[in-house]
Amino acid sequence: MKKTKTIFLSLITWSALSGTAAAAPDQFFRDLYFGMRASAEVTRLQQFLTYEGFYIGPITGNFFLLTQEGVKKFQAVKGITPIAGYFGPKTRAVANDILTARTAASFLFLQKRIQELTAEIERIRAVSPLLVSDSADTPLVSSEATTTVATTTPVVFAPQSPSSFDSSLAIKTLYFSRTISSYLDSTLHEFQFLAATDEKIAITKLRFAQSGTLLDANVANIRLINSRTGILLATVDTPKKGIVEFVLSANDSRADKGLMISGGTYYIVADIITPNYGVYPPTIRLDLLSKSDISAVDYNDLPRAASTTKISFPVEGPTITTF
Amino acid sequence: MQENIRKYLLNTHILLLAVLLLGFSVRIWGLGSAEIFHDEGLYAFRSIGYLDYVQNIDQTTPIEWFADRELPWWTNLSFHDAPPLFFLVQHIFFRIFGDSLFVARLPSLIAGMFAILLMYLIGKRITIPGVEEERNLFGLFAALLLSINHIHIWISRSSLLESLLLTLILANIYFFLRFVHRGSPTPTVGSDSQLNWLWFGITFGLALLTKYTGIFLLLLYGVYCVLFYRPLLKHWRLYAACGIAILVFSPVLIYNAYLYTASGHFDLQFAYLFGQETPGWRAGFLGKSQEPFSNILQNLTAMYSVPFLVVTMLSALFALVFQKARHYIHITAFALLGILSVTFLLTSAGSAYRFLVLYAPFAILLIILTGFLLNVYTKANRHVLGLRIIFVAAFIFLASEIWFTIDGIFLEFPQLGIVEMNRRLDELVGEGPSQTLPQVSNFHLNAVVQRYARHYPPGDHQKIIVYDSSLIISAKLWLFTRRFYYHGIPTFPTEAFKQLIQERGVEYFKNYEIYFVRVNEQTVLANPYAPRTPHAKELEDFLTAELGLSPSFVTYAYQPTPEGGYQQLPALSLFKITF
Repeated sequence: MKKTKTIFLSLITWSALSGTAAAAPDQFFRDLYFGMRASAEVTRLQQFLTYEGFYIGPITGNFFLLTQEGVKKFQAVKGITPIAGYFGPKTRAVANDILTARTAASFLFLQKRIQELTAEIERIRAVSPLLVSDSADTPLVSSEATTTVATTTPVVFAPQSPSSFDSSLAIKTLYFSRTISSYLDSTLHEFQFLAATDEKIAITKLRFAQSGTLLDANVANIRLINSRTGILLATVDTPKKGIVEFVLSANDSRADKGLMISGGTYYIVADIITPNYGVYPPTIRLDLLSKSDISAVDYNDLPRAASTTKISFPVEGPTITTF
Repeated sequence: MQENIRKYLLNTHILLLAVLLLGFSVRIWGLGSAEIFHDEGLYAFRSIGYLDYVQNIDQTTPIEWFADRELPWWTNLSFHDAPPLFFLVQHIFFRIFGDSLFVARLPSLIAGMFAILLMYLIGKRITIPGVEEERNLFGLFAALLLSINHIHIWISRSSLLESLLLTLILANIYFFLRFVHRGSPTPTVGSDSQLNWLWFGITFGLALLTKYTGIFLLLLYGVYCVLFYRPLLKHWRLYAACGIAILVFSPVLIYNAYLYTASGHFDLQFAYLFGQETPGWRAGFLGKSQEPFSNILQNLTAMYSVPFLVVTMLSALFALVFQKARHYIHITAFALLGILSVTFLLTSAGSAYRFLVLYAPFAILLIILTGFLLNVYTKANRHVLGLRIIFVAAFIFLASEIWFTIDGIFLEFPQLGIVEMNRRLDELVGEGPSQTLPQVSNFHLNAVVQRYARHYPPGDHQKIIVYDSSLIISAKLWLFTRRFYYHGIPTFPTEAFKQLIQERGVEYFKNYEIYFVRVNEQTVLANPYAPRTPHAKELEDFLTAELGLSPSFVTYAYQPTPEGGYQQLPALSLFKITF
């Protein structure tokens, strides 16, 4: 049974990878030229040139002198004329050829790696029967800085006075999708968001869906940090089935009372394990998808917050603004 | 009569000297041993070599972007995150006196002393001319208030841009008042034989060349002139002064123009101002938390005493109510507009502690103006009792200010253990280079190592410092990166050391003195934005469990507890390793 499940999982992963490889989404489809600003394609070009050793400037998405120089170097080495720094059809074709070759190589590498890992899992399971937690019902376990709280199915709690914090919470997210700029860039940060409210509420749960190209296993130590005080509010070891869930519980003995207090700016920071991704830009995207992704309690009644960790907030739903 | 005047002037000078001495003594006491706080290390490290580099993959600078070619000339004109003047001034001091914390803070101290002197001159100017005795008295009182002001003392004891900025702002206000008022309590049009307009332009340019936050002066002067002195807006001297200011500020403009053509955005501050994305620069990694404006009250009460804030507010009210009949509307409005302009600036810049020093001159102006008006009022009405009450109240106020300052600067100033570790490293590894100079692949940076290590006699033994990379960046730059680039001592993060051992084997390090500095992650010295690598902990575990070593030196941090008290925690642990 266990073996069947593992093979099934591997097949899913394999098929997902096959699909991605066939689509080859990282080809360059348009000309890129001096003066372009805040362009995702220029960002990819800069990443490509960095990877190929032709660019050492910052990854900005802006096509200016530094990027132009990088393109010129690339053109010179590849024998593309004229060496003008314009990323046109001829240069694109050469770049796309390199990308295609790299895609195939990295695909084979990943396929091999998955096989190795699958074999390793099987071997460990044979030794330790406790390691069977890949079931769909696995609870999402996250830990606060000092305590660990396990959550199961959300229980809708009817607040005693819901009107006191009804519809007043706005979460504004900034930089919620990021492409890791290089393989040296092992830290993901500045997933900055602002929680603003006109009521004294405290957030007890934040659940994000991770939808970047990074696999769960390659994101670790995800930390929720109060940007003003630098206090670590909660930690999640790694996403579980694409979900990152921070659980915070009341703790009167701590400076921030163990809760994310409303009206501040927060960062999410994570360590990224970057194996050879080849042409797939390692990306991560975190989203609050629905109102049930946030739970909160009345800050004025912390004992209640401590005793009831599973509260859906609010009954009518908060205003979630993401951009 | 003449003798009386001379006697009086002598007294004034002695009193001013006493105020300056008081200000100097509280600023210099323990200057080199006070803890490294905020971004002090970030600025001081770069000033030593006038080098725009922060050793951080999340904030690369032009010296890294142009690593494969000649560094363009314009990269020397400014820095990627701040204008250059403070760096330049500090650099000159470092060149003359060598690099130390004392020297890093010396320019701030000198700037602070000039600020007190300027406060005296400004305080003199705002009172009615004619009664020299009183003018001097209130000038002295203004200087005294600044000399014992908590936040100004902190800034004058820190390697932070605000120290020089505030002095240049005061100089600029002084020349503005001379330029516009020319000895009269109301603005007057006329000739300006003393070229005050020229100095006004120069000091404004220099203030901006120190830090862009000086821009709030533009709002202050603009509104003030529109309200009270519109003819100035048509005066050629004003535009000539603006031209001079732009000329002085031009290196930053040129730098930004070239930076834009290279990268598509301006420097960090201008990019923020113009809403440009700078994904290549992530300020958060440096541990810089953008203190929101909403914390302003909390931060004001941390930096200013409550009596000072209350007296400022009461003074503003009093001056507004009583000055009308006495034609002091202009100077009251000037001080109030100053406070409003700073507040307007902070709504976008945030209310970080150091920014709050910008309020100090305007608050002091309001306080002494009110003191002056009260004095005039009680004298005119012969309220002897009233005069006595004013003196007693002033005495109590000054005493509370002094206590607040002593408490904040000397008794409860943060102790994080960085300076202590720095001292220990000086004792252990010295200032001179290791026998083998460290090498960097970036040839611009390599040249820095070669150039600076020459200043020291050749090292006679091999030494290495290995450090925990989770250390906050300001401390890291001062403790380790500075030793690497300017002293020729190899300093590596633990992960790089691990890699070296893997590549070269333990045998390679047999003749080395190796010092390992570990950070306690429970303290504020651990940068929450830094990658969490297990290497430092692994090395520590290896040293303690496998080799049976214990730290040879430990520094302690005093951190606030939730209960409002302080707790002592081990902060940095030093191990000596020999293979």
